[in-house]
Amino acid sequence: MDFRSAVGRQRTFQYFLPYRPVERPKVQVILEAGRRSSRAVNTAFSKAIVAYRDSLTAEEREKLKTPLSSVLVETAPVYIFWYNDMDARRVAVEEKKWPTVASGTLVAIGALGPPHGWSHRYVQQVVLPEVLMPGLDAGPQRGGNADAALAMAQGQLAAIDEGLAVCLAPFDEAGAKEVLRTPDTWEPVMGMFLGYPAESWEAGGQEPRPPFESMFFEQNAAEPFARDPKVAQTLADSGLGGRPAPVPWREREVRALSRMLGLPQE
Amino acid sequence: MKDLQTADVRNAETVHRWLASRLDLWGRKALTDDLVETLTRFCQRIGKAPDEMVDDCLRPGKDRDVFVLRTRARRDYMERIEEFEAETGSREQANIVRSFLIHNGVAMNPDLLP
Repeated sequence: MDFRSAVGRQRTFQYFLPYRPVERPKVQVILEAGRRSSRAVNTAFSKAIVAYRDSLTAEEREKLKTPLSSVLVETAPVYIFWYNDMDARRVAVEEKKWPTVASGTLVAIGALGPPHGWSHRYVQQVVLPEVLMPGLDAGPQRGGNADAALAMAQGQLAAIDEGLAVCLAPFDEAGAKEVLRTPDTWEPVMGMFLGYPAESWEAGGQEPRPPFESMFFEQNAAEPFARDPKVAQTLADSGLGGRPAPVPWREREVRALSRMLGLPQE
Repeated sequence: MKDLQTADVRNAETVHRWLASRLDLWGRKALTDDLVETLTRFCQRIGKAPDEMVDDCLRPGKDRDVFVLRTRARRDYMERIEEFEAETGSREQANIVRSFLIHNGVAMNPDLLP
């Protein structure tokens, strides 16, 4: 699948085939894609735990649920719990265990170098104390992390590319901590629920979005980025777009799926 | 400082660090003969020794071997290097001076746009 089709096919899938397992190699592909995502100072803020619905007890599954994710927990055969490791910066700076900016590896391999003002001394004696170490004394801080979310987003596209349906939804942090035995320093990003879609790939159609010009700007925040309809059409024709919701058969589809899965229809 | 000689520059601690860092990153081919001579010309022009230039740009922090960039001093040096570049008509020579500061922990780059 090409990139545009993967982006265009992405939906918040709600209905999975509960009986069809997801092949393990496909799960690995998702993790591999997440591992390659962009991250500041090459630090691995993103952590993820894969869990299989049928390997958990009913009690464990119950602990993971929130009102928003209850049906997903019941029907998706695979869950990936994505986290932000709030201790990642400290580990990078103090333990220098992995190839990060702090360990000096990025300068050594030429990823960062003198053309942009980087040198070993600049990293070790200026950037570390001036940029990376301040605030570490305060300990792990909650508040999300863009890089952890980026890894998840890249994994999500990989899942679509593997022909899987994906839904991101919150999970119960305290319950997950018990079931998954996560460290205190891991902050939840989102649960990724995976499986083969029980619904059509349209999944009700492309969800409406606010106008393009209300989200994107040019030069300054007062100037909307004027959308060229020809570009938008080219993208739609090449797979990035799709039929807008609602599709005419959606109501019947939802009823049929609900009957099949034993969910309330109305 | 006008009488600063190439030998004095070559013996400076910051110059040793610069050359060692270039050697470490790029190998022997990065140690060309013109490096110290060019830096010497710059030092003579502004009347500062190499160690003094780095001291101007890096303020010692609370802990040993830790520094804070002095942004105004760094900006001053960037301007002086630009003047040196205009005077010599050589981006290459100016970049030698920038390389000296970069390998000593003072991040900088030339303006790329007119």
